[in-house]
Amino acid sequence: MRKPLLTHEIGSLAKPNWRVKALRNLPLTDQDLEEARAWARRLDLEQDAEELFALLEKREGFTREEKRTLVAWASRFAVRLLEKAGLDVVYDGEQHRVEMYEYPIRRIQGFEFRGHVRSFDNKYYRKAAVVEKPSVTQPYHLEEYQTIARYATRPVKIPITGAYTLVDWSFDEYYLQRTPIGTAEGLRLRKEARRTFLRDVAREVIYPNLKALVEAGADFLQIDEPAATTHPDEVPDFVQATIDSVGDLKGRVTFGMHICFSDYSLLMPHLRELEGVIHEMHFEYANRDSREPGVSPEVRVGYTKTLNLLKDTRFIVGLGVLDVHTNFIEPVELIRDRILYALDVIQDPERIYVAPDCGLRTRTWDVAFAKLRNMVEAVEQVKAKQGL
Amino acid sequence: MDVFVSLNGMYSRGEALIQATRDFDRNRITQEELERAYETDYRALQTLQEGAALVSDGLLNWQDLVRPFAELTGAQPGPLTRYFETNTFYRRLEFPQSLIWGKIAPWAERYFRFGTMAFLPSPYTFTRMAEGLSLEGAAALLREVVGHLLTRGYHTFSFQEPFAVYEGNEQALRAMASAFTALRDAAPQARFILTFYFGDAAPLLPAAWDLPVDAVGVDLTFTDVAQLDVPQGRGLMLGIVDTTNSLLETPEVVREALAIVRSKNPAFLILSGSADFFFLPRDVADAKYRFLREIANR
Repeated sequence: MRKPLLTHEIGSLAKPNWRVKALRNLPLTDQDLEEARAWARRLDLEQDAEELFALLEKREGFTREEKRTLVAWASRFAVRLLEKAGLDVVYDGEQHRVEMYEYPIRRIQGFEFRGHVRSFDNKYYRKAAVVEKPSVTQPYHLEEYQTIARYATRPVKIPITGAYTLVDWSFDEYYLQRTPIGTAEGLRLRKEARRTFLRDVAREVIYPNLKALVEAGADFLQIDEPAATTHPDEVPDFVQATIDSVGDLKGRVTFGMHICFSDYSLLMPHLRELEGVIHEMHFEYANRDSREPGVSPEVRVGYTKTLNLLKDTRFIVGLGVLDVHTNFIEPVELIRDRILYALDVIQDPERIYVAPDCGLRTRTWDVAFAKLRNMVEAVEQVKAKQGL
Repeated sequence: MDVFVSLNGMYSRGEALIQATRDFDRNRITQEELERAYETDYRALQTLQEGAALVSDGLLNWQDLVRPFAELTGAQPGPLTRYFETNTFYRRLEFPQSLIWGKIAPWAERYFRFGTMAFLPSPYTFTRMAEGLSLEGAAALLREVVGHLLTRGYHTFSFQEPFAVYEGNEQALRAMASAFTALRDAAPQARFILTFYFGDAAPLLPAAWDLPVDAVGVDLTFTDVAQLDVPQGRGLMLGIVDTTNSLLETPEVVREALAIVRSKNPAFLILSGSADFFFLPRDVADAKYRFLREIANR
C-alpha cells in the first residue's frame, strides 16, 4: 500500500465489558448495557445494533452461538471506532482473540499447555510446550478476517503472531528430545533443534495462515514479533523464519512487521535481508520520546537513533507516535512534530506509515479514540503543510 | 565424593499460590489468606526436599533476586528490565547516596523462611541490578545477611552471578576479590558457591577459582563440562537439568556429562538446576528436582 503517511493501528484494543463478562459467564449490569448503547450512539451503530441490545438484555447464560454473535458485535464496534477516528487501515483490536500467544497456540496442533510461569512480580502467563511437529488444519485468523471484511468500509489489516515469538515463548519437548546436556555435541544439537523448531513453525503454521488470508483477499498482513531481540545471537534465525513464513507470498500483498520495547540496533545488519519481503517495519518510538513539541534531534530523543537505523533501508517506517502506556492524550502539535521530524530524516512521505507505538488494549476506548483522532488530525496538518 | 542436590535461586510457585497472589492483588483475599497460601506452598517445598542436606525455601516471596533488599535499605524499585534472554523481568533498584540498612533479623525472617542453603545476589550481579551500589557496599550488606543467617543454621551460600558469565567478564570476577574476602572473613566455616548461569562458565573458571569460594556453579545448557578445570579440594554445583525448558531429563541425557565431571574428581558435587526453577510451572519443577534426587542416589 503506497500512500503518503498512511495511518493504521497496531493490534489490540480494550474489550468492552459486555463482551468480556458474557464470555466469562458473568452477569451483565445495567452499566454494561448502557456502555454498549453509548458507544453504539457514538459510532452511529444504534439502529443496526438493536439485535445486540436485545441479546444483551439476557444478561447471563449466553449460548455458544450467542457468544459468537457478541464477539462479532464487539468486532464491529471496534472497527467502526477506528474508522470514526479516521484511520486509513483498520482492524478490530483483537476482539476475536484472547491475546497474542494463547489464542494461536490453542489452535495449532502439536502444543500442550504446561502451566503458569512468572513473568514478573505477581504476573504470570500460561506457557505451552511443543510435543510434536506443529501444524494447522484450519487457518486460525481466516474467520476473523472474513467477519471484519464484511463490515469494514476501509482496507483491513490482520496481525499474526510471528514464528520466532511463538517459539521463544514456548517450551520444547519435541525437538530437544534425547539431546545430551553439558557436552559439546549437546550444545550443538540444542542450536540445531531450535532452528528446526523455528523453521517448522514458520513453514507449517505461519505460512499456511498467511496464505489463507492472502487467498481470501487480505492485502495487508502484520507479523508481530515482540521477542525478536530476546536472544541477540538468534537474530539471523529470526530473519530466516520470517523469510520462511512469507515464502512465495512475497510481493503479493503488503507485509508489515511490528516489534516493540527492544534495542532495535541488535537487529542490524541482518534485518536488511527482509527488504523486499517485509514492506513496513514498525517499531515503538513515542514511549522513549519527550513530550515537548519541536523538530530538533534534541527534542525528538525517542526517534533519532531508530530512524537512523532505517533511513538507508527500503523499509517503510512504521512510526509509533502514541505512547500506549499512558492516558496522556498527545496533543496534535506534538504528534505533528514527531511526524515532521521523521519526514526530515526519511525524506519520503510514502516511506512513513503513522501508528501508535503498540496495541492500545490497556487504554479505555475513550482514551484510545482521543489519541487516534489527534494522530489523524496531525497527519492531516502535516500533509497540508507539505502539500501532499 | 559427596553428592548433594539443591534448588537453584527462586523456585516456581504452586498454582494455588499463584491464584492467591492474583486474588490478593485484586483485593479478593486478605493478607492473612495470602500468608496461609504461602505457608501451604512452603510446606510442600519442605516435603519435596525431605531428607536433603541442602534445603531452601525457594525464595517464593521474592519478586526478583534483589527486590527484598529494597525493603531493607530503602532503595527504590525502578523500571522493569528484561532478565537476560528470558521472558521475565526485574526492577533495577535505585540506592540512595549513603547505604544504610535496617534490622536484619525481622527482614530475614520474612525472606529466609527455612533452610540450610541461602541464595543471594553475588556482589557484581547485585551492582548490575542496582543503581548507586558499589561492590564494597554490596559486600558489606551481604556480609551482614550472611552473618545473621549463620546464627539460624544456614551453612551453604550460593552467590548468584549471572551477569559476569553472560558478559564473559573476567575482570568483574577479579574486581570481586576484596568483596569475597570480606564475606569469607564473616563466615570462615560456611560453604560458599559462586553460581554462574546464562553463559559458558569455562572461560571464567580460572578467575573464579582465585576467589575464596568452595565451589562454582555452572549452567550445563551453556557449558561443555569437558572444558571445566576443577582444582583439588574444590567442588562443583552442576546445573544439570534445564530449568528453562519443560522437557524432563532422562538418565541417558545426563550420563555423559556426569561421567566427565566425576573423572575430574571434584571435592563434592551439588546437582541442581541450570538456573532458577521459576521459569518452569511448579509440577515440572518438582519433577526435575525429583529426578536430581534419583540420579544423586545412584
